[in-house]
Amino acid sequence: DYGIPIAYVEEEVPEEETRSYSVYSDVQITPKENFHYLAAEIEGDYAIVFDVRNVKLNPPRVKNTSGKEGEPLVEAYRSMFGSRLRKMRRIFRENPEIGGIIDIGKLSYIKPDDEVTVVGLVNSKKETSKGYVLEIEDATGMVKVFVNRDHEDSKKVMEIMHDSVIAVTGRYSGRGMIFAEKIYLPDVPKFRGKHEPLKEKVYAVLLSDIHVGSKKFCEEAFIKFLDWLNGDVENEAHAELVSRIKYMIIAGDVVDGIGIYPGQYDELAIPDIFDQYEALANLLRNVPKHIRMFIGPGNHDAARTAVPQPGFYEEYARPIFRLKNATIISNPAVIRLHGRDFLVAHGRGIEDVVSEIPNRSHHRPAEAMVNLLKLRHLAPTFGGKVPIAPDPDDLLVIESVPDLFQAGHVHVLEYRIYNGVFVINTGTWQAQTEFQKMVNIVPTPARVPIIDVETARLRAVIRFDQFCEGV
Amino acid sequence: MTELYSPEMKAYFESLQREIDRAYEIARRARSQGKDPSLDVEVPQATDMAGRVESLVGPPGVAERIRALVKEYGKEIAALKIVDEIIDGKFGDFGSKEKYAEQAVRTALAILTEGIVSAPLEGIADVKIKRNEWADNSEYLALYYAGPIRSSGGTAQALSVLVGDYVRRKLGLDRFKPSEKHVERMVEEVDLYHRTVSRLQYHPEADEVRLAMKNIPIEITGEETDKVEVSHRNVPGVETNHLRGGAILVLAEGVLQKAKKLVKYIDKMGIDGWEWIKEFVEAKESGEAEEKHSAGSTAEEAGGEVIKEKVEKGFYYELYERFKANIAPNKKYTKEIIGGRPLFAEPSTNGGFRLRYGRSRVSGFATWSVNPATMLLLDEFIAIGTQMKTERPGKGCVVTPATTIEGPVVKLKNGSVVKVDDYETALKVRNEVEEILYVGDALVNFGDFFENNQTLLPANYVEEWWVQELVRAMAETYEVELKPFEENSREAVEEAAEYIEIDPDFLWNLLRDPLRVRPSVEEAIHLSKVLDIPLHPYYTLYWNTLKPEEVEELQKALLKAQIEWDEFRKIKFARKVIVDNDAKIKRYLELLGLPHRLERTEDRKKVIVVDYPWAAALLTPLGNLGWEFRAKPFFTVIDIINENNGIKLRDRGISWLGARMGRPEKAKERRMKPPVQVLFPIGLAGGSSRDIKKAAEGGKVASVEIAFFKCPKCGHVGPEHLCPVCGTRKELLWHCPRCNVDYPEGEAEEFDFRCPKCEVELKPYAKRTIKPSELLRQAMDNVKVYGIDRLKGVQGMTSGYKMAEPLEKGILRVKNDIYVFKDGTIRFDATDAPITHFKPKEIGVSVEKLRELGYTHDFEGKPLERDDQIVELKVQDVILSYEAGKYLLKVARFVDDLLEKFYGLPRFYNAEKMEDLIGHLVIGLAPHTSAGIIGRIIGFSDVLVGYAHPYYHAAKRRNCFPGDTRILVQINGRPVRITLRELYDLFDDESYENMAYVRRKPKVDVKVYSFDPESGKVVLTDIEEVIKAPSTDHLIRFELELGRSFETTVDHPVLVYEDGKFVEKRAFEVKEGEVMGIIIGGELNLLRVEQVRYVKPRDNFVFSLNAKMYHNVIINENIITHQCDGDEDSVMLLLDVLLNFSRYYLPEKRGGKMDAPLVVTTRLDPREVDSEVHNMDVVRYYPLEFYKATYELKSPKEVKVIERVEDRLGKPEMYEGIKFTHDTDDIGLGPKMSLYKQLGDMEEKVEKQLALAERIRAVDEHHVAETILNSHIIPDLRGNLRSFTRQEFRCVKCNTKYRRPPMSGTCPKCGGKIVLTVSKGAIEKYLSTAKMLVTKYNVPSYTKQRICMTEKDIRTLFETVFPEKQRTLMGFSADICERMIQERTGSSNGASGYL
Amino acid sequence: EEEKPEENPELEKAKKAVMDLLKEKAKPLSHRFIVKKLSQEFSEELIEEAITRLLAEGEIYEPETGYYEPL
Ligand SMILES: [Fe+3]
Ligand SMILES: [Zn+2]
Ligand SMILES: [Zn+2]
Ligand SMILES: [Zn+2]
Repeated sequence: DYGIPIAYVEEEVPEEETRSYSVYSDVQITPKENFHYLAAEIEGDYAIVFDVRNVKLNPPRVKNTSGKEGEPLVEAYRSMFGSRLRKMRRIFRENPEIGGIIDIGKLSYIKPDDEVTVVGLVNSKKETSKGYVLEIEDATGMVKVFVNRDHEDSKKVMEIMHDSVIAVTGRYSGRGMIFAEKIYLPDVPKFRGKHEPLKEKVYAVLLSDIHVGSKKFCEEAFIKFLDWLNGDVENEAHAELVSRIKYMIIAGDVVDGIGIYPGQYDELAIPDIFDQYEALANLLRNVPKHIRMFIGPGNHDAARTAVPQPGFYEEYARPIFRLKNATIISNPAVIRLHGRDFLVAHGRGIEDVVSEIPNRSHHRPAEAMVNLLKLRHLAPTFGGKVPIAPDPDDLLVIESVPDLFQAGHVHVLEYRIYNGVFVINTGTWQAQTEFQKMVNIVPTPARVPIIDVETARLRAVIRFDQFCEGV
Repeated sequence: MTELYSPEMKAYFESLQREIDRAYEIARRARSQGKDPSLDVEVPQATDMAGRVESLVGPPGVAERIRALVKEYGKEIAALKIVDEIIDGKFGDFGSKEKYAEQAVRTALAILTEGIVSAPLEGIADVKIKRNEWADNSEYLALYYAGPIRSSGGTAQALSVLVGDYVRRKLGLDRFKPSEKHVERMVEEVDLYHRTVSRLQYHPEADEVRLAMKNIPIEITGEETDKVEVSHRNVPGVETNHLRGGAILVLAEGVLQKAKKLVKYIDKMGIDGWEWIKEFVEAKESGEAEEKHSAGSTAEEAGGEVIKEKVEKGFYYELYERFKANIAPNKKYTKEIIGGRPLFAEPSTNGGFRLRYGRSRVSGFATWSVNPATMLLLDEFIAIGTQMKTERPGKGCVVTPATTIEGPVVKLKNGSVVKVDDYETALKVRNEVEEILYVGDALVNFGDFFENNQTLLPANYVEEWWVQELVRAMAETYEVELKPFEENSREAVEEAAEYIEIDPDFLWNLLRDPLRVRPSVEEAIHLSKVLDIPLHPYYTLYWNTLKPEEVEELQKALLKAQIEWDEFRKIKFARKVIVDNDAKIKRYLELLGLPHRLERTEDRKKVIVVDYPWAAALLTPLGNLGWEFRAKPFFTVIDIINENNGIKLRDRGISWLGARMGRPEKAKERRMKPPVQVLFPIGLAGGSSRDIKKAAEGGKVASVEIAFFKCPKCGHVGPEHLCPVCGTRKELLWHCPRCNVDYPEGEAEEFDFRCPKCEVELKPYAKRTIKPSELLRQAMDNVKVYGIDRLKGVQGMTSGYKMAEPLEKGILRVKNDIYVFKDGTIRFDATDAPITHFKPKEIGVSVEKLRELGYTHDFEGKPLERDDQIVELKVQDVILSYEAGKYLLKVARFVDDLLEKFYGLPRFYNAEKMEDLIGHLVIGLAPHTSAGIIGRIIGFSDVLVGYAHPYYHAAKRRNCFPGDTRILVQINGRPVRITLRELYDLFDDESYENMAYVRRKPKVDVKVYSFDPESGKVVLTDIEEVIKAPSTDHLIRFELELGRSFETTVDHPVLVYEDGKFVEKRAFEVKEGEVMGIIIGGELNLLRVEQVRYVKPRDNFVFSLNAKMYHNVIINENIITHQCDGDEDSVMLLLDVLLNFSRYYLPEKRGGKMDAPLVVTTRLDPREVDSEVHNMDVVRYYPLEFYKATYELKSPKEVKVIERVEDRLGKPEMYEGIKFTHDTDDIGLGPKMSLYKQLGDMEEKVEKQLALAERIRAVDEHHVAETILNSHIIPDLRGNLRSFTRQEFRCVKCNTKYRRPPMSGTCPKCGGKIVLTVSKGAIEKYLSTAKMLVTKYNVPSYTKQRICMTEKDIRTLFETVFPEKQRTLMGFSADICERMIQERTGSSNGASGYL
Repeated sequence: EEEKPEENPELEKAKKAVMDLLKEKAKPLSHRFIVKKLSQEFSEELIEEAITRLLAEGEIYEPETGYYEPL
């Protein structure tokens, strides 16, 4: 203060205002009169067959626990990888092509040039002039695997991520090296048994990355979507769709969160975590009551930052816990809808796929998700982009083959079918941010994929993006 | 040509040179004994181009010829003539035709590329003579471009081809006659390279490549650079089926892109057979003429002139308005506040640092001088040499003391207000301070405003301004010419004194030293009255800190006050004022900066007492209450006073500067981590302390990678250079790692350093077994030193040759208790502090000694007789800190021991005490350069900085990237990625400074992209200058995830993402596995460093640029900081460097035969130093015109009245006669060590810093708390949380790192235990501090929520491993997070109270 | 009011010189300076007299003892 009226232009966030933003308490939508919801009459058939919170995790046992905190933590991580290996071996054992698996530690008993099959975690991948050298490790030891460049399986090497588990069949040379004849990824079987057909068609809508609280949250589009769910439809075809929607799955990043990245404050319409969930709940309470919602956390949510994420922090996300027709799920989770398994994960592992596997892109997430599916793991690489919690059990292994695999995180709607599994990334409700604009990431906001539960295939994509600013 | 030096300077430089020569002579004698890697001193003195070429590539003796030929023919022709002479054998026999060709190509190219210091021809791996087997089997010349030569500058590449052709013809070789296969192979490669490896700036058409291939008379080929296979395989004579990046670039970006330039050279050098390229250029140009497109025009925004109503405004009101409109507070420096490094003043805030224009004698550029009392009362967070981040004019500064400027005004706990202008008072009151009302002056030199092109802020009223107004009034009114800051003639002073009736002695003193001599208050009033000049600044209060209404109130209160009046020459003035202790009135007096005290009257009432002279200072401007002060719109307090009062005021507090603490000062010997005393590998045999002595005592045998030498005479093999048996200089053994055979250097050379049996490249070292006990005993015997208790070596050598230092050197270092750096030198690091003038007594040197050193006069030209005279420092003289002196004394003893006991030469320094080092030479070296500069020790000061001339510091700096580094820029509004070399070519106006070329004038509209780590955004900014400098001797290459890579000089600062934020690290400090920010397609990606490699520079130059505002630029998609202020530079004793430095010790891949060694500049030329110093002002005082200009908010460039170094360049005055504006009593007065360095953990740091924040009026402690949280603590917490979950694991025993814990649970290498690299404690360490801050201070709930969520994140992360038991109950309701949750949700969770 | 000054041409000249000097400088001038400055033309007494007259006539005033400034 100079003692005279001089007001410098403030470029900073001014003092805290008292809620200068809306938390959508005024959004009140009632179902259109006389709109007939077939789904309301269909008996719900859902079960959470896998939820992180239902797994009992025992703290690792350490010889001397006195004082040292590091030891149990190392042990927790170690046993996590041990559990990964065990689960993957189980998967490989289901593959009839793979013969007797032998421990790496026992290789020294093998006659040189005998054929062996080992299963192990991939420690490293090196390219040489003649091919690739992998180092794989199991509980008993490590071995190098050479894959000739001209070998047909050498293409598979590209798809192997660090710390994923593979099986290798080849000749053991003696000096710690296997010359690979065959490389196996855990993969999913090409064909699967068919499910019983359903009496009545029911649909599920899949969402993710709503990012409520962000300045770029497409609120108008989202409200239009809610209107639509409440029967405000333009034609018969849509009426049929709406009428049969029985489930809604939200795969994380339901709010924009706070402090997720530097400078986020300036990008937030609601810079308050309590109010973000309040706002979200105010929107979701308009979802017709007969639609069962499954809501899981993502990296923007008030939830543990490391994966797997057991759920939301209840004290911050309380409003969504109070929604009558909502079920909170973990990330990842498996939901069984009428006998069909839906694997739902937020999908951070896609980031690692994009950075490790050549020719993958954020713009084609389904392709990356297929890679994860082939590796039967949601985030194989440790030390990459995905923060992984020191849980003694690996809960990110895709232990059973789902009918549908849903993820979000990269904000691009894309789907494809791989060996009978419907793989879908469900886009976002956040328009392109300044940062994304600058870096040329083009999200596909406000597109709603509708899944026919019976086939676990896409029924339709309804677009609300015309109501989303900047699209 | 006019003489550059005065006779005195000439004598000075000559005496330096004599000393240099003496040291070199001794070092040469020592080195020639063959006990070191090289037989000669490895630090050449900087020299001319010819000399550089010779030392760079040879051949010996070529320098003289080059000089002669360049003089006669010019550079280009001379290059060819040299080729002739080399091939004619004038420089001796090189053996084979190939070797002749190679030498000729390299030397000629070195000449053409200026031969600046470093390896120019690293790009050419080989020169071969091959046969056109597929054609007529004739001989032709092939140039092998090495590694990723990328564009070593298109022109240089193109020229290399031309030179090659010239050599080819000179040798009588035929043309290269490429087959269709050769041509098509290259066509494919160029295209493939462009698509898969890196975009070519010039992507030639297939036909253009064909044209070039068919016509270029030599073969452009090379080693494979990228693992990308071509489909045209197994082309005869082409050794690889992978991409040859070097060759591709030479062809595309060299010959083809630079065709036009090449034509010029072809004409100039008269080479024929290149008509095709002229045709190519012509065809190209006629085709291009049509393609030109217009550049995007920038729309000028129409500045709407608003017609304003004319209102009458006070002068200062109007000035403040203009000030506010033109210069906004700059908050940038407050965006980050680190724990323990306080904010001293918010941006442009009243009560912060008061801007005072001037340059003290301990200031150069980017320096602020402050009163030592300020340093002390800011809790000694600022010491001499502490760096601050500043609001303006620049981003940062180093702090030095000045006692002639104002210190703080403080309010004490007893309620009194004191002006603390001297150190003694500060010491007295330091524990009594309740509030720092005014922080004090910051003396900032005009040159810094000029350098940063910072609009001048209105000057605050100060003594040096006032005295000039006095002098002017004397001249105008009384017609007596007087001069300020000078000894005036007695006559003039007496006349003046008579007219204005003051004591002539006083006037004489006042004029001579107006900063220390001031009139009494009544005299001041008298002078103002009779000369009609403003009131003396000392008695001027901070009137404009108050609002007019407040002064109204104050005046009313004063009307009721008890006032003691007095008279001086019938002028009434107040002697004492006693006024009721009203809180409001008291505050007004405090804000005026008016010293006063509280007293109890008899009736036990508290009153405010204002004593002499302050009572007069308060009442005189108010007309002794003779007129009524009335607030008035658009008038400031001073405006109202000046309207009503006879005695006018100038504002003493308009311009305020903000600052926070940056890095603390430093003066410390350099030790490696762990400390090393000898560069000798001991492996694991020496234990964790790498102790060779211990290994020897334990009788251990070590197996280490080391270079061995074999005696040609007796066959002795060992790590010594000289045979311990027969004294012969031994030969290096080259080793085949495959078949395990050694070949002595001579043989190895014959085999071209490849194993004759298995074709493997030979290595200069091998894994060998050494017996430390034997080696150590031998070494001890050699130097007759036995009683050492330890000798710390290294675990393994990182140098290219892995040559070990002689153990004797280590023994003698141990004896003298000193440590060695990786290059064999012993260094002392200290913060740079500038000084241009000193007093003998300050630096502990006698007047006699100084006279011996050439200091005969003081700065005013009087003979030097007393030790308190002020003397101008000679430019290469340095004043070391005591710590440096003590350490260098040990180094001197070591060097003497080394000379005597190891080399058998006489001792040189014979230094008993620190003072004995005076007159001896050092080398000063900045971390980013490889050119040191000679300095001479003239004294010592008890501070933790290295005081030297600003020129000297400026002579050290530079830092750069390779020329082929690509940078994202915007040209004419369009983003493009170009090489730095191209960027350099987009600028004009070249000058040669500090051994580097600098260009500042852009030819096009070009901006650079920077990264703003605060917003996480990419921003555009202007380029201030581009720099082309000699390359350092090696570079670091970072291979990142996704196949990204980039290179930079070893010491270059890079941004590493750590703990949730970007931190600056030196390239060499970055380890594999660390994370860097990469911009891919504009997106910020965090990528892990997969590999760090040392590589040889491919180019003779490295490039750099200075981007405005931000410290970084985006280079090859990486964010790299380009400069780094406030580095500690190091000093080394000259003879130590000459004896012990060897490039063989430097870490690098292949020992480059023509690699650039360290160079030392012997004579400082101010024209060739960092240009920042050219803006330093050199005057005794800033004239009135300057102060007027500041009121007009002029740009510094418009102010022509202050002489700067630039105005003197090229004249002898650039060395001498530099002046300063503000003296200081002692350059060592002030706190020596910043409190920061004495504080413990984060909690303590933060507490201390906030305690200070609460005390400073110009600082908002809540804001500080919030900023610490947001800029330091939260990023740290979040970052650690994140890195915990992605961390590496480590073996405690062998230190091997694992990406994840090995399955077996123990280290597969050694069975050791596996541990975390990021502990749980590391995550939690700041949590309690964070919670303390949110509990104690008002921080926005956003920040509070972040902390609470983070706490929860940490808790849930460890939930499974440590179920629940971690919780300590601290009463839920007391917990801030618990309280927040309760408030917000109405219910308690009960689970988040975790600490 | 009619005044009848005793015309002393020398004094009038001195008064004018003092006034001119004061006006030229437009600042208060010290007695010593005025005397010294005009000492070539006028005697000290005359200047004293001129100043006294000017003061009396209200043409100038004495901001501080010994210093004069035109009103
Ligand atoms: Fe998201
Ligand atoms: Zn020998
Ligand atoms: Zn060999
Ligand atoms: Zn180990």
